[in-house]
This record gives sequence, C-alpha cells and structure tokens, in this order.
Amino acid sequence: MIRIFIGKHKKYIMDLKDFISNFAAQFPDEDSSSITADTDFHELDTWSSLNSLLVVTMVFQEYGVELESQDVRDADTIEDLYNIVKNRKA
Amino acid sequence: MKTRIPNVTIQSVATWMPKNKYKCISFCDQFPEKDVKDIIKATGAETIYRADEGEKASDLCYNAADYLLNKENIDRNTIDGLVFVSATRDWIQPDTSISIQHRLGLSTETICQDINYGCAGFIFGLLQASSWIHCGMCHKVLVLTGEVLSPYLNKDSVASIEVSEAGTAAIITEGTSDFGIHISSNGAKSEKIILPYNGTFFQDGMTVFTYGIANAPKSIKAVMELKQWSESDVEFFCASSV
Repeated sequence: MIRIFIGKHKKYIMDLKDFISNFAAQFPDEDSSSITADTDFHELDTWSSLNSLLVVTMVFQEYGVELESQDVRDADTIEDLYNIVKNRKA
Repeated sequence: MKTRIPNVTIQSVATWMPKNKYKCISFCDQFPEKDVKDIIKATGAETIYRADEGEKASDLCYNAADYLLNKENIDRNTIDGLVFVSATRDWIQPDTSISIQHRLGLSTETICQDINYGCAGFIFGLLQASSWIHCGMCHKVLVLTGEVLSPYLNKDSVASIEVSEAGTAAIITEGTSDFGIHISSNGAKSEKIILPYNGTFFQDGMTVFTYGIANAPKSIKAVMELKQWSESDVEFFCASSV
C-alpha cells in the first residue's frame, strides 16, 4: 500500500482541483461528491489515523512537501490543507 | 555524514523476546475497536512482546548475547569491545555496558561504551564497532541493542499498544564486508520523539512518518552511491522506524 520512492517526486503544478482528486483517491470508500474544497476532512466518516498517513504520503509523493501533524490539525478544510502545501512549496 | 568501512563483517545476530506475549486486538477492551484496528493495519503488527515488571533492556540484551556466545561457541576472552545501544539504560551513571561485561564474563580488557539512541540506534552501534575494528583497536565487538519502554508509556494513549520490547546481540568482526553508512541529524525535530526525565514517552506519529518517507530514501540513495549499486543490485530494502 505504501511505496518507498527512490526517484524524485512528481513535479505537480499546484491546482486545487487536482489536489482534491488526489485527496479523494485516498478515501475509496467515501462518496466523491462529499469531498470538495470546503469539506472538513476531519469529519469524514472514513477519516482515521491510517488514512491521514495516506494523505501525507500522497502530499509528499505528489508535491514533495513534508507535512507535520500540526499542519493537518491546523487545516479545517481540504482547501486549507491545499494552501498549506502551496505556501510550503513556494 | 557518509562513509565506507571495509574489512569488517556481521558474524551473527540474535534477538531475545520477553515471554509476555499479547495480541494487539486484545487492547479493544481498553480502547475503541476502530482505533486499535487502525493501528494494527498501519503497523502490520498483530502481536507484541512486553518485559516483566522490573525487567530491563540490559536483561533482554544479556540474554540475547549469552545465547549467541554459547550458540556460536565463542571464547569470551576473544571479545574486546562491547557497545550497548539503548535509550532505557539501567542508570544515568555508570554505563550499563560495563555491568554487562561482568555479567557475560568478558575480559576486563574489554572496551565498553553505551550509546544513548533509540529507533535506528543499531546503525550507531554498528558504526562504533566497525570503526574500532577498522582502526585496529578491536577484533571482535558485541553490539547490543534493546529497549524496555513499558515504565514510560502513557497507558491512556492508544498509540502505546504498538510498543513491543526486545533485546538483540550482534557480533562484529574483522572480515571481508564493506559497510556503506549514511547518517543525518535534524535537531529541529527533537521534540517529535521524546522521553523527558520527568514524563512519559511521546511520539508525534504522523510527523515521524513523513520525516521517514522523505528522508529514508535519501539515505538509501546515499548508500547506493557510496557502494556504486544500481536498484537491480539491491536484493532487499529494509526500513526501520518509518
């Protein structure tokens, strides 16, 4: 499930729509319509400590950003998390 | 820091598990079932081992080393170095490795040293032992690693259920291997895994996890460059503490 990347992470241009779809891919059991920019992801039925690790793995592999637990706590919505990643990349 | 240390080898390794064995799922009577199952799924560990009350990391390591020396039929007088790697040493002072020298019946000519590292500490022990051998100071070094965290766990935290305890012993000797070692340090993250003098063990799991997935591949690459290996030359990638 979790791959070790030896190569470079992909060079994604920051785009909120892409970020949301990458985020949603970590929640296969969740109805994709419930995952939008405004979603408070902490309140998702399938949000768990395990899925949170999948999210930070996705962020590192796709965007090359190392998120800390405080970042995930600070973000209420998916867009908040996107902005943290975007600012970290800049 | 990265280096190659030639003409050394890991002769043999033993692990000693304490006798108290628990199924992680049995912690469902203390914590929500979903949290317990999540942790089992994330770590892949279904069973853990815990030391007896009062049993220390040094006891587990002593058992591992005593077993290994007997099993390999090694003359204890030929051991000239002993490294004990642990964050849960018997005392602040003196070094626990010195008491283990006596318990194992090793010569008083043995150089003994503690290294106060957890997690990836074995690499620090391996580096110390192989350096001693490479510079001609020692010929056969015991590297012991072990941790008994039970007395320091926050038992109210579901994260504590994955803590398992063990002691290991490895014999490092002169040989024909060539170790490639890369070590990096980042003090900015000091408080992400911490056991203060007057508190309980704390680990910020997610932050440690991202640090691992971001930095372990850098170490792997550094070692592969040192050794001039391509990916197809590596038979097995083994990650610890990630």
